[in-house]
Amino acid sequence: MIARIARKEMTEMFRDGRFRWASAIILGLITIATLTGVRSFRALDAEHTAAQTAMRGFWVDQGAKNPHSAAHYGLWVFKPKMPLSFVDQGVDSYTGVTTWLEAHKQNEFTRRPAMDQASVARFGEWTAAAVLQLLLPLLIIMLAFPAFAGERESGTLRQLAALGVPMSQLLRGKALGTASALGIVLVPTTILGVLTLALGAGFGRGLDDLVRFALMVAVYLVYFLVILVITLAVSARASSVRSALLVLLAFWTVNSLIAPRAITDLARRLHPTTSAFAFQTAVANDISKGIDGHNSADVRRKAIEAKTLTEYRAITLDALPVNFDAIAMQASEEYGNEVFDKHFNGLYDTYRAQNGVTQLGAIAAPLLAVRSLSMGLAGTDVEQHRDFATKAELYRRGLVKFSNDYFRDNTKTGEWDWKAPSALWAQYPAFAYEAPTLATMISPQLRALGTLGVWLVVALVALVRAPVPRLG
Amino acid sequence: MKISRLARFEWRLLAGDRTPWLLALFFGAVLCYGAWNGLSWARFQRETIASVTQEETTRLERLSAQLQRRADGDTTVTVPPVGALGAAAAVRYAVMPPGPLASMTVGSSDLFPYYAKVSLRSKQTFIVNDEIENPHNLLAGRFDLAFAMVFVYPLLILALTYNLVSAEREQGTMALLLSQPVVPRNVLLLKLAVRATLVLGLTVLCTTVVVAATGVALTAPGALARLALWLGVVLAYGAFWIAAAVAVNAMGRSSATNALALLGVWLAVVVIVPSLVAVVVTTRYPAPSRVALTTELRHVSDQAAAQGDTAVSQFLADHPEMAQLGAPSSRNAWGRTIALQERAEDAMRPRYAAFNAALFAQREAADRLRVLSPAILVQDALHDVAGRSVDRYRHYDAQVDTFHRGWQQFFFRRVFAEAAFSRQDFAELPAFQYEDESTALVVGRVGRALFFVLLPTVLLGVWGFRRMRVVALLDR
Repeated sequence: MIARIARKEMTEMFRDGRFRWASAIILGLITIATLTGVRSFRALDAEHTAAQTAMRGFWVDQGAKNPHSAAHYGLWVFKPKMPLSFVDQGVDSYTGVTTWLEAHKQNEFTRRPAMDQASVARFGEWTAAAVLQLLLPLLIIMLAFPAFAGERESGTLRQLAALGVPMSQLLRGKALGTASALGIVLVPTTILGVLTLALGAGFGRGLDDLVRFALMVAVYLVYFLVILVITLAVSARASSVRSALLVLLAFWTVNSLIAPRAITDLARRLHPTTSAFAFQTAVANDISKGIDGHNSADVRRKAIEAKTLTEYRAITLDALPVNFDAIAMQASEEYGNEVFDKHFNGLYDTYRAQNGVTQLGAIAAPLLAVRSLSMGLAGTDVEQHRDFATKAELYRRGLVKFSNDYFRDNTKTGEWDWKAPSALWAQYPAFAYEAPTLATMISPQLRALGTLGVWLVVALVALVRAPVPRLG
Repeated sequence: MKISRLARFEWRLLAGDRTPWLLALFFGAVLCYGAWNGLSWARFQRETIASVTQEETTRLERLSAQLQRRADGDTTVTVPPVGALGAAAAVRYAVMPPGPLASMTVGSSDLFPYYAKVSLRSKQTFIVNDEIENPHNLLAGRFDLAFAMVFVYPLLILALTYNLVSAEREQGTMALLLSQPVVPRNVLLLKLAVRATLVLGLTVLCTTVVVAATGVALTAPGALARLALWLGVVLAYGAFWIAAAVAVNAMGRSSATNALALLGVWLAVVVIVPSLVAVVVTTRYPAPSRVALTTELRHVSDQAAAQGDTAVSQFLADHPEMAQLGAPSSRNAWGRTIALQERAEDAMRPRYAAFNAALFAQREAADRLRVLSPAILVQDALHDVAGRSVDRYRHYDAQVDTFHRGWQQFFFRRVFAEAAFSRQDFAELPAFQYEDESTALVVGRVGRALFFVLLPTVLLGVWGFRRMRVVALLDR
């Protein structure tokens, strides 16, 4: 029975010119989005890799130099593009793509690509994810809003009831029919995605990306199921076709348009961030006056001096077999690192708290959970950015320590004019970013997973227990 | 008499229905929330500017006191070398304060710096000064008044007008209307006029109230003109959507079809066309790469540093006005630094020019293509009116450039002359004063946008109006 109902629904939809047109348009838009996504991935990936190589070259070839000057010279690192960004760009346009790694200082990421885009880009980027998140739900609503309300208005719902068709089977049949009709868009889209992934074998991580892609498909399917069940439920309970449509369009508008911005602004109010100026001032203060305010830079230097002299059983700094300047620099470096950790972690934790509010907002607008998961899986979310920033910072700390240690062991205090051999720089390994594994992305996404799970359960319960539609 | 009576009936019909009240309430809430968000951002910016200015004042007062003590013969006081003053201790902020209507939108202002710590170093070192913001929030965009106007306001209009004609037909009142001694089209127009007055009036009223409540200084120069422009843009955009509703109604379909068709138009105008325009612009005119620029800057800086003395003498050969003051002695480390820096900057100049030209080409293309969607035009116009546009940022950026050059000249001369920094020098320190764009300039830009919003409005309106006479009244 269910299969027969489903077949009838499907045939009806395929015969509907509007459905054919809408599907064709959506498929076209997804294809354009995917192709431009792949193109931009290739271009940016090549550019960032080239820049990274060039920077490494500058570092290696900087010639004989004082190690501390070399640390000041430092290098720039560039954030690599993640392969699945061709599906979902996430926040890529809104995070800086590069940072300068230099002695003494953790710099922020600068040069947000969005700055150089025309203001029209703020309307939203054209990615496959955008089409799937915004337009596909609309297609589902267009397909399924008259499912019950239409039958009721044309009087066929009573006939069906009189024939003894169980309403629960009718619901499941209609759900199945609509879902199969959607296959005409979803199957080619998935194939397109898999092909793009497979053909771009140069993308690198291979299996991990395939798993991520499969999970993305799953998340989107759950989302579509939720939208479909909501549509059918509204259609079953609405007083007329017109009111079913209006309620669903209102839901769509709130879900895809109003809630994302409204809840984002709410999240910002609940967990405000400081200004860049206040942030920089606080960092500078903590470094000069001590994190607790009682341990200033001078006091710290004196303590290190005493400690080093005891350690080497020396009376004066000149008597030390090593360079005390380098020891003091490394100590102040490590102190600075603590300060940076405190402030940068605080900042990223605030971002995480804000994003948590947004994910929780998915109770009202399921799109928010899907958006968050989609970005997370694509590796284009804030957490991924944080991961890159953290690893770049660790690389910086290693680099500065490398130069300080070399300076300490090969010179004596005060030998600022001494130069390390030019072959030294190649000994510090090149920066190689390893993207985090899939498992690490779960904990920041718990609320998104939870809310989407709630929606899924509600949808499944609705399908199984099938609310009785109004007959008249 | 007849008109006013009909209008009264229409008003009673509307008032008796629950939906318009709910819609009005919802829209009012949207406007208030939008205004609140915009206000918070403007306040945040003002507070940041205040603390930045405070920092500058404290620092310069300390420097002034040091100079005074040195002038009084106190030898224990150490004043940093002139170069260090121009690079750090004496630097001044170039601040772009929010405009009078700033609290109405956030616009592009969350992406661009609004103050810069201008030093004698190259511009690249201080202009990348992004405000801290969660990238996710930047992606989502702000819920401000401009968002409410561009996205939500059309929906309110469409909700009240999508079934203007079709409802009469579906309720069976059309036949009744046709039997009356009135011109049916005029009655429909009147209904439309009542609804339009209601929405547009409500919007204008709410906006004015919200603006007054958020303490916008209407006495500020240009503020009233800008507010008038804002309302003008909002009215024109409203007229566009009313015209679209008239045109769709004139096709004589059912209410449900009208709703779907209008939603399709809304989707195309507000979501799809802007995104496609963005795709076309970014693919045809890709943004120049800051990544490549960063690499190149490092390369030429290295080259200048490797040339050492040669680079310094080259710089002096290219800048005789500096050479005149005397070549920097080997002890003048700042002189060397500046010479090497300027040598690299000279090498980069064509690159910067190419970069800016590419950006300019992209913006030109976006400007041409935005006429394809009234939503883009209106969003840009609203940002412009509120002083939150990219154009205003460019205007500021150009002033920063001029100020930066002046600052560099001021310090370069003194560094090369190798004289101590005097109290006289301190008194002559250049200061930045932002000059806002002239209102006439904004009026010109917004006027052009208005023209391209009103053009489709008139076409749709006239077409719908003419067609309504023949088709709309027939029963389909």
